[in-house]
Amino acid sequence: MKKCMNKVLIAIIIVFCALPVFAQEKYVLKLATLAPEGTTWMNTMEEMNDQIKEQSNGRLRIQFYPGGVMGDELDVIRKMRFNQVHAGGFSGVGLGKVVPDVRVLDLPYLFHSYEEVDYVHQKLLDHFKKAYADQGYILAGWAEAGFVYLFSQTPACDREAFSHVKLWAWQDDPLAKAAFDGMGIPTIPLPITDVMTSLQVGMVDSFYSPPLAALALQWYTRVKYMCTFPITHATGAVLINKKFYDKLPDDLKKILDDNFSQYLKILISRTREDNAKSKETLKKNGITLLDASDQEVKELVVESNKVWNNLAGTLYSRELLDQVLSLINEVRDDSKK
Amino acid sequence: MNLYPFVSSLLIAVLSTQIIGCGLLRNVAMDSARPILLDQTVAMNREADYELAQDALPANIKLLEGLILSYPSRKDFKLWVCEALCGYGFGFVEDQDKQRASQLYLRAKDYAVSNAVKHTHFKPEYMYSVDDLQNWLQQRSKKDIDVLYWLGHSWGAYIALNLNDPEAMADLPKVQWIMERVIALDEGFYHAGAHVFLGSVYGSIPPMFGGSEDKSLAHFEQAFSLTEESFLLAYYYFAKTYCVRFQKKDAFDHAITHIEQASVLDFENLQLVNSIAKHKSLQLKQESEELFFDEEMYE
Repeated sequence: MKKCMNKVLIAIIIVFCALPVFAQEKYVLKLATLAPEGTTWMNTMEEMNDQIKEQSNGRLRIQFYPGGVMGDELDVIRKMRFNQVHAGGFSGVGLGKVVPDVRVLDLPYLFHSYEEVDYVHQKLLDHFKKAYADQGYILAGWAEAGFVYLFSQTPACDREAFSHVKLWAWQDDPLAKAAFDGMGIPTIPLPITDVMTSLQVGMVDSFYSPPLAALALQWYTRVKYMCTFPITHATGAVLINKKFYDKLPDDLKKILDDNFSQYLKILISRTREDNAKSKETLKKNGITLLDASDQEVKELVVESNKVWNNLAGTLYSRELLDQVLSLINEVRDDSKK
Repeated sequence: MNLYPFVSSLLIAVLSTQIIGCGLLRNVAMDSARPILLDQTVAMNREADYELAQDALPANIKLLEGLILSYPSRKDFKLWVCEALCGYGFGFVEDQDKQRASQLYLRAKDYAVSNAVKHTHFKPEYMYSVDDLQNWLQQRSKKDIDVLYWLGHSWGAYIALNLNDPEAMADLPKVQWIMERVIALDEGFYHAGAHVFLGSVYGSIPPMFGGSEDKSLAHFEQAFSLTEESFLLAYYYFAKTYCVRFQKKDAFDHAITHIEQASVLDFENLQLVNSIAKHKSLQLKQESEELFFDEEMYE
């Protein structure tokens, strides 16, 4: 009898000890991205997911929808609004649909080095975290597509040559058109999906893109030259739906925040390595790299100043532009010391 | 009289004749052994026992590589070893060890390039020149199709596992051109493998990057038709790429059911590849809940 009582007692203890474990809810963050499986973007996010699963004892994990399965960036934002998808990786175009101010980071000829990019992004992180939170999103951290260069079928590395090429501009990106118009460079606006065909039939003969994207999109096969002075830096970020985030217990929020913060930095570093390697690959594949003259660079920056000022008050506030320019000057002054 | 130059010349002549004669004999011997080696390849393709094939393939690869050392200009041996390396990597290695599989595919590609150089006027530098590669492809005729196909197959298999490497990414359009040429020359070659490859490419990348629902589907449908629905690997790739990328759950279920219901024994020369397809589709089916997004569930 005593033996039997002991067994019952043990069973009761086991059940009660186990209850908190069973009661712990499990969370799945659904994240959509255009990056196909196997790419650096996805590999880094998979590594992060393993870490999150381990640190949360399996209570939190990310389910990925890679390769644009959820549609383009605008589709993903729509799905995030309905809480169908909880997170997404975005370029400046997608980010700008939620907080237009963020496009200040994509202005032409604004950044000249990664040091400037990192400094400004880090200094403005809290500002943009608040701006996205006000719209119902958590800015999990910055990412980037990298510095953007101009590629062409004929040599083009100054405004005179730019005005003679048939340059594609991304139809869905209001900043691209405004920037090129402002600098007096004619463009042919087309959806991104039409660029390859347009290059093949000669409707356009030049485009702008980070080196890695020029390879991934296969556009590099239709051009011969790349101008090595970057026309802009393409920012990116991961956004999380605030409704999903707010439901997480505090410890899981911390795990998510810490991991995104850590792994997006790793991703940026790997993206930069990939872009550097891509330049070498482009050369190996017969693309000639052209250097712009110092004088031309100076003039391009002066011209782009006008664009920055013209867009202030419409795309972003004057105050924000001044803040960005002041931060960049801090880095430049520092480097002169 | 100094006989030395005469004797040494004679000796060289005799030795040369002997060596040439020996080479001829070796080639004759190898030509008569060729049917046995070919049968060995056929027997491997007819192997329905997954584990047995897994154990036997490495020995086959080494046998062929040994023969290639002795007969470096033989096109057929290099084609067979290319097929064996790609099949072994895909069927038994890449799910466990992508890096090792990549090395197997690179090895296969080296044999394919060597064949292309020896038998089709190819130069390795064409791999880095859009114009030269396209010109070379345009000059190829139907007799070159085996060289073209295995070059594309091995190169494509390597790229698929190395999309995080910009150089591999840059090479994808080149393999697409090779496979397009294969289709132009003989679209049914190797179970319409070029259609399966292109269907998978268009079905796995976003439209923004050149993917296309219509093109992917058209390639897969052509592959199904040309192989009379016997090549189960085409259904596996169809489910894994087109159906997932474009969220076609019904088509996915249909493809998996087709693979499950087909008997490996039905198609004698496809027993190994179909048995690999069955193995892989089982895993794909288990992952299917995570692959498809039910919008209504979250409305």
